[in-house]
Amino acid sequence: MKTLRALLRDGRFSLGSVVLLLLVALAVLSFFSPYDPTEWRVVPRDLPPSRQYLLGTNSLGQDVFWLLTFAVRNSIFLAFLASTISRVIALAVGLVSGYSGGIVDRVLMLVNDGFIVVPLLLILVLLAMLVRERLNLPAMALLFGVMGWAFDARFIRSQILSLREREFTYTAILSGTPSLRLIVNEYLLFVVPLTMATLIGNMIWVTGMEVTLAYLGLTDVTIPTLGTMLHFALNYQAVLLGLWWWIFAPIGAAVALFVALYLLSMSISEYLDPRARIQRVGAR
Amino acid sequence: MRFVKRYLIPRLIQYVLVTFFGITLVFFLPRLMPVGPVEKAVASIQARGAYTDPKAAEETVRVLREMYGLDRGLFFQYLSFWRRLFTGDFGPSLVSFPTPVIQLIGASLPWTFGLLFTTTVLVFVIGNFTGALAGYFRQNRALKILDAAAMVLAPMPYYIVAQLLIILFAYLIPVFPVGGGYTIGASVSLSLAFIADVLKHAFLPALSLVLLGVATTHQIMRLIVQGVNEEDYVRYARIAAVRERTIFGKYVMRNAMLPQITRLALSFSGLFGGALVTEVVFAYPGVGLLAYRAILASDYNLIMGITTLSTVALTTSTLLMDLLNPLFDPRIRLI
Amino acid sequence: MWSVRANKLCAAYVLDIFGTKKVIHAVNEVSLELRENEVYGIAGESGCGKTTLVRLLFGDVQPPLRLMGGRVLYQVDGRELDLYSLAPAERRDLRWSFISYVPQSSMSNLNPVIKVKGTFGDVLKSHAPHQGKRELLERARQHLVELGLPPKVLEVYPHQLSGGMRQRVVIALATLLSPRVVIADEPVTALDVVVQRGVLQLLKEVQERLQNALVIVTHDMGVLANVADRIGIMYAGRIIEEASVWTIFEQPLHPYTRYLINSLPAFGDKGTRESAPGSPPSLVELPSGCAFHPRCRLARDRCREEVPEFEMVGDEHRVACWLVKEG
Repeated sequence: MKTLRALLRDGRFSLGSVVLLLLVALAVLSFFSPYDPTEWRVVPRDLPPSRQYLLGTNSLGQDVFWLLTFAVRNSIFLAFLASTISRVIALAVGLVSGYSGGIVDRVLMLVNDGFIVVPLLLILVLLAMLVRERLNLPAMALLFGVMGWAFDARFIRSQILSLREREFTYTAILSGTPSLRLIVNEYLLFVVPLTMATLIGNMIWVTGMEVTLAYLGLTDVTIPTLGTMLHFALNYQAVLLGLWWWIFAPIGAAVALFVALYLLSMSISEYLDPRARIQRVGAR
Repeated sequence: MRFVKRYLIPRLIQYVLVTFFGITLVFFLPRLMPVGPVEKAVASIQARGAYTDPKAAEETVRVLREMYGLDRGLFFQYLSFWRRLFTGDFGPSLVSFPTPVIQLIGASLPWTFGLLFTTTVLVFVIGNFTGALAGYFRQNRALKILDAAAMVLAPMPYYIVAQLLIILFAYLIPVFPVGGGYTIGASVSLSLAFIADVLKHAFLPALSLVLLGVATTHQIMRLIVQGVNEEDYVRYARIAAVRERTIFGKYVMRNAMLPQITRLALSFSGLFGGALVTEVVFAYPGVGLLAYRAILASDYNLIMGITTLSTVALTTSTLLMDLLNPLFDPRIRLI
Repeated sequence: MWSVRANKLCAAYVLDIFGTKKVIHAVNEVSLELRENEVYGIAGESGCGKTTLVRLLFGDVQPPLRLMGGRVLYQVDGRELDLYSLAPAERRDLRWSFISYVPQSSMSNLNPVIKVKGTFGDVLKSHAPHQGKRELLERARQHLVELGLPPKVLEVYPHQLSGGMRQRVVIALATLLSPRVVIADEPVTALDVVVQRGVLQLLKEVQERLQNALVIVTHDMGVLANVADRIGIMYAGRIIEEASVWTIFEQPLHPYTRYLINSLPAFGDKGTRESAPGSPPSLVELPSGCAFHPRCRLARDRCREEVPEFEMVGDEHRVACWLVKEG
């Protein structure tokens, strides 16, 4: 509670949370949608925003506002699920590697660096292409989760290493605390807040990747996400036809989501460790 | 000698290991998918065979099966992949059969190089310059406005910025072409008119890359300079009334540039992978667009070629950076 | 002959932490005098305002630190200068030529990417802009020889020097322009005991050679016992006792000073040492009256209500304690 109050005093944190809460509220609205987002031609086409159609309608005959609620819901869900998966991997690898050192550490870091040096975007594009037809949300989350942990595993490992140098570890080892309990008690409690900060950073990455893949037309376009909405709008030449509400709805929501997450992650990591700021901005 | 033994050799070993493992990942990851990449390529060629020359299609499929040992085990395929890799042979492209993959990549590289080298250098110079000033003169109004601009721009998804630039400068105010590398039909030559045409086409993609790159670099550099500014040696020099110009140049900048040089080396590795999204959005004929076309056409050889090359490019630039670092940081020179 | 005089100095850090304003009263009404050819020790637990006091004497006041009152006078070549009414450029000119500073011994007081001679050159160049590079370097080399340091250290990078040598080099750097006042803030804290002695000896030697004022700030009374002439004891931002080194160690009057002396180990001593119970007060909310009263066993009602005056009680012996005044 104290932490939350301290964070809320930071303008960036409160702004970020307000925007994120608004987006979540938008996502919750999708459960009350009068339309099925996968159905086409349920409303008249190409209508500008009005009282009846808040954000207008698109060339496929969908209500942009209600479609957007689904898109926001799916995008946030995907980002959260994928980031959680990759956090679990990053945390496990970082903890084990940092704690055990020696040969285990070397092998794990080799795997880790392998994942860092492969061109992630190309690989993701390739993998997405192979399984495009089956790329539903959980599958996509798994894909992003498996590919997106390496940077933060290294970060967590470095934190563990610096922690090991501190006195309480020696005290604990000398007094015979079993290592599993040591990992949980001494390290996990310290590393979990840091992992939370990387979670938000990773959610930004996942959302960005999803929109990129959808933009390139490599995901299952029948699932409404911010990316697929943008994909359809661009494919149906919304810009040329002057259907600005169609293209600006997903762009606006995406920018809002990015900025909100970005503000939150900046504020949290600064709160946790002023020096971490550099690493956060530096991660891609 | 100690330098060689404790610094150089471990890094060389790591270079070899990481490159090996990275390429291994590139090979295996696609094969963990329910649909294998080669099968996918075969299927798409057979489908096309229906309305192109069936004989040629059949020939391609046969070459493929033989080349990858599709009828044999995964391990055999892996070994033959390495064997071909060492001879620099990525095989023929499947779409532009039988042009070798390496030739296609070679034709696209100059475009990517020209675009990315220029923008990377620009981003490095501009971003570090404004970022350093903003970090050093924290109270300056104009620099604070710059900070705010970077703050909004940096988290923007790239394609949105790119798309906005296209909407603005190609549709609304049509001063730049919508995409492409040069006007279609123009004769490719070293004439001034052609060069001007190329530059005009490269302007928007370059602008989009520079805008976002500068915003990110600005933010990172600002934080680094703020950090270095608090270091003991900077404070002490300031207390000793060393001239402000000297402190900024010799004490703050020289130390703050160390991590940025590392980042520069890493970003140069992107030269081989191309800027996929940029090149697709602007239809710019570089390696990125080549990769995208290859993916859409299931041109497996071409994809593997580009992915492997950019993996090697990244590990190699990391190694080069490790080797160059001692020049800038005396602490590494004498371990 | 005095060199520096502080008169009722008050200063505070004004911080803005996530929107809450916080005022840390680091220095409260401190008056002291530094004289030619003496070593003045300032002692106290960490967090009692020692370093802030030093910054005030030096004229290094930058946000969040703010001067709230009082004056600092320098006596430069017979002229009296009021430090805080000088123009910034004039204040800069006095640095190193009149008053200089030896920081806490740490790894990073010297720029890691340039050779030691670079740092020496930068300092000299800033204070003697018309001299040539070679001339300056020669001057630095001569100075090192005078202090008994190998001139070779100029040619290496800071990380190639040991901790003790690095601190010696910093001392040489600080005394390059023969300043009348040298302030050393915890100069030996991070060094091990054997190296400590050598570094202290160098400080003392330089002081004897220059016949100037040397201020040593430390939390370790043992460091001062052998080198200091006079000692001021600080507690919660105030000097609460000041006397010659002999008086402080043999006839301390303030209960806090007695605790400090008592906590020092002595040869052949096997009993447990008594130190002040509790920890120093928060400088954000100082206790009422004498700030030491919550930790003082002899505290009376008056100690809780009124701040005791800092008064002369004997020859060169000043103390701020109600017990002493009221007997």
